[in-house]
Amino acid sequence: MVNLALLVEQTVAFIAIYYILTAALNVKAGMTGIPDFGHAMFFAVGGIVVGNLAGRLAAMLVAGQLGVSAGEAFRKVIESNTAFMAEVNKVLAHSPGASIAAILFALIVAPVLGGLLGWLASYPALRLRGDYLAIMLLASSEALRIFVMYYTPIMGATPTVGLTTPAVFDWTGHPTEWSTVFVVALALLVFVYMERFYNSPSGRLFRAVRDDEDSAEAIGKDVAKVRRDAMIIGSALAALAGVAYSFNPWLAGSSVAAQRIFDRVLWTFWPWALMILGGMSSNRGVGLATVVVGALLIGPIRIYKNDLAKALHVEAIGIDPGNFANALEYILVGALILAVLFFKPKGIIPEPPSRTIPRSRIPELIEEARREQP
Amino acid sequence: MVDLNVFTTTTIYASVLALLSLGITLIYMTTRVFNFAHPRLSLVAAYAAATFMAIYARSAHLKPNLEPAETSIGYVTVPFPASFYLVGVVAATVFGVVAALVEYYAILKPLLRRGADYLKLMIATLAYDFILMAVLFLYNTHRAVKSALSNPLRLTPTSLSMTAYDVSIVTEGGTFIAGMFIFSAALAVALAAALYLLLYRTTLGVKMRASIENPPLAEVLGINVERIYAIAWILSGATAGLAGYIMLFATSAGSLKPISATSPADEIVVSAFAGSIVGGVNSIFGSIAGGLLIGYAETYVTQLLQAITGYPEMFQYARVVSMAIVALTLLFAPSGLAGLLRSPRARRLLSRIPVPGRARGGGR
Amino acid sequence: MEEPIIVVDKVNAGYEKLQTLFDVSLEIPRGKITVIVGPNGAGKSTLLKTLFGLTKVYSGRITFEGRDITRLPPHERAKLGMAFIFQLNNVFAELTVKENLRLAGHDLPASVLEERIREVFETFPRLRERLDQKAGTMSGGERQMLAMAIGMIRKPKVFLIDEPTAGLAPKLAREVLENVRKLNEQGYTIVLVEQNVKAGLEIGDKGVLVVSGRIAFDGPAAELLARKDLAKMYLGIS
Repeated sequence: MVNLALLVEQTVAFIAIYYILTAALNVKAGMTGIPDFGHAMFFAVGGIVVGNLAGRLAAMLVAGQLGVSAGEAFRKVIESNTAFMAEVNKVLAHSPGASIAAILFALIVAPVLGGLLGWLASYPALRLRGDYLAIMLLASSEALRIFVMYYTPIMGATPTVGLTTPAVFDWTGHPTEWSTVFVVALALLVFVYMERFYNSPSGRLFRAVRDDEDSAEAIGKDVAKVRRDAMIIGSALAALAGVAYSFNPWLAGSSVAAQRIFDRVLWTFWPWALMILGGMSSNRGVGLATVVVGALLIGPIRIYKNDLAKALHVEAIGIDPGNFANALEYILVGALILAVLFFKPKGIIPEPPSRTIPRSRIPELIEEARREQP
Repeated sequence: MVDLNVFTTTTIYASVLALLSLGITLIYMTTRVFNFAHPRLSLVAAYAAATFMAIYARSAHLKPNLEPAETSIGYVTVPFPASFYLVGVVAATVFGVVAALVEYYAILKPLLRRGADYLKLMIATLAYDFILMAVLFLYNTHRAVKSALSNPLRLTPTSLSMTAYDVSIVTEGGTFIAGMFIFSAALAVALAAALYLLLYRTTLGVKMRASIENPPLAEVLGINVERIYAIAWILSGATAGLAGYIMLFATSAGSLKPISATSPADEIVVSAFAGSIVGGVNSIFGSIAGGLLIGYAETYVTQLLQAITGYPEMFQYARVVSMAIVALTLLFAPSGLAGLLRSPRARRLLSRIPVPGRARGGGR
Repeated sequence: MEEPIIVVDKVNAGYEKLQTLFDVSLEIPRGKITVIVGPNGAGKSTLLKTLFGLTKVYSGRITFEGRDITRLPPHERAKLGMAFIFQLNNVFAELTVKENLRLAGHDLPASVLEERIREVFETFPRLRERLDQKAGTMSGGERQMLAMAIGMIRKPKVFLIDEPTAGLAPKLAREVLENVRKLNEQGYTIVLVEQNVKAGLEIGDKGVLVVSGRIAFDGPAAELLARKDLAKMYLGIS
């Protein structure tokens, strides 16, 4: 039986995360034309900050209550992660102070690290042609994934299990609900920021560089610097999405695993699909696309996929309906992307034209300028 | 001391990468897109090969003969007659070509006609990749497929490996040589030779080179550039198919794994593109060299690093090595190996080598 | 009067969804030089490309020696006897002059090819001096010469030449147009799109003025040149 409230919460959380992540990609790829196929690695930074750094901070803050020193707590988080974090989480459930500190810490540190990584990743590749850049960033993400998976000090010894997340919402009594509220609040903030950013001087500059590099250079804009800035901002936002995701028991479960947070299908290719569907560079398009696709996928398709499979009578050709239901998601994404590329290459909500000064204001501005003349 | 076993398995892996890089480069040189779906074409081919070989074995009442026979070179095991393997090779090649041509004619060509840029084309290949993966998943969980593959070959469709059925040789000295080693090495050499002959000694080759160099001008000269592109796609699909065939029989060479809807394509996609870029994306022979280089580097550089750092898990970082090589290439020699060889400095060096009959200072 | 070699009949054409030629009808006389002029973006190049099959034809008909070629792909038109000389990238830059000429005759028997190369050198002796030089390293004017030579190897019936003097200094431009005239003397029909209106119309027999995708004038080149009103309005000559 379907628990509607649960479903709605799940859907909303899912949509919120994907909105932030896709908006982040939009800044880089949609607005500035950087084909970032390594987007997942910045999302993963958020997860790493949560599992490793925020976990350590939380542990250190409650170390006293566990009878260990802060230094010991710092080490034990990685060394005996599962057991120790279980203890830490029990204490966190009664420590709003430590929990909130950990949340704020992650919210600040993750974008900084994400932005830093974005800056680093952009360095060798910015001068390269589009398709080379795409492969380069994809390769970087893969390499980083493997590095983190096997270099124990970062994500622990087991790449598939990873680190136990500090349960920073337990003290509220309703962790899943509140973490969802947290995610949605973040998503709304990002949406407002993006709306204002689009028509801000920076936003226009990014788009100018995307549209015509040479002209931008001609008026004195440093194109490489613009791309770097786009990478920093977009990657920071992606890390933010990673934090929100990792703290949410619904979405991420109780641990952050390298295997999962670096997944290129979930965190690179899906945002690309959503961005193309919504309309590259169009913030509202991205918003709409994530809502529509997210709602469809988490909701109806996930519940009804078995029924859909049965309705299509796939057993008739020997396919197990359960398997078909699972494969359906990939077939749908692929088909959806192709459909958009063929029929609506500009996306559902194409990029809006830049807002310019209203004509009525011009005489006023001329007057002002005249008055300021010496 | 060079461990022969490591060398043979690495050669198999490197040959697979060379084949994949070649396929990727062929498409990049003509259709100007990085085909993300290319490694998955190999998986399609592998499943096709396994299926046809299984059906053939059943209908011809073949039973695997795993008894080694003593010969002059050592103990040779040939589980099945040559016809069995031939069926596999043909099926793999044909299905590789079919999957490639579907991608070209159903998806990429129509998009090109609508003026799609490189980004849209790349994303379209991604979408095709997703669909192929889903199709393969449905295929390898299908009842009929399960039964076909289990009798008499006892294969598991979701983790397909025919390594046990590969020809093998154990020498007097105790060295194990997999049939795939001989096959893949011979294939790489033969392919390089065949491509050279095709491109430089046939009229078709001239037309191909002209079409790649300057497509509109080639049209003006009466060359059907469209047909040349189709031939490139056929070659690309065929090499993907052959790579898939090798992958099927060498599931533990290098980063290769048993075949599933996702493996080993997802694991080696970056390495395959690395081979293409390091070789020089506009060079056919470069791609073969690049793929081989990446394949050997992944094993031997990690081995070296392991010896230096004493870190036992070093082999896991093989892909980091590939990425580092790609990064260095893009930073210092963006045209890859081929670009280096074509540089004026290299040309001057090369033209000093006396070659009978070659004119000084000219040619490619 | 002799039959025109190419007839364009009420053609609407463009690039994918962008229409640039509107209801164009035109006849190209055999053995003469037809010069197409017009303001920038008017559709001169599109017209030329449409003759060769490089654009999308929405409606209308194009015939070549009486044969309907509207749907024929470019390489087939090349085989029928059309040669197109692009404004840029009109030679194989990485190959030498000799290799370019050999490539041009890729489907010819060796003896025929050698003969034609000799003929090319008679018309353009300077190319013989540059035989082993990489085409990309030659000057703009020499490259145009090579481009024409490549066309000549295939012994076409018509040369479609797109703005050959673009980006060239006046002296070189004159040389290039002189070469075009030489080609015509060999018997080739020429359809020339020229930015340099005066010089172009001076060597032309027939002049065609294209404005906003339509034919605004179609008649003797000398007459077009003399039409001060058109010249001033569209071509910036006074």
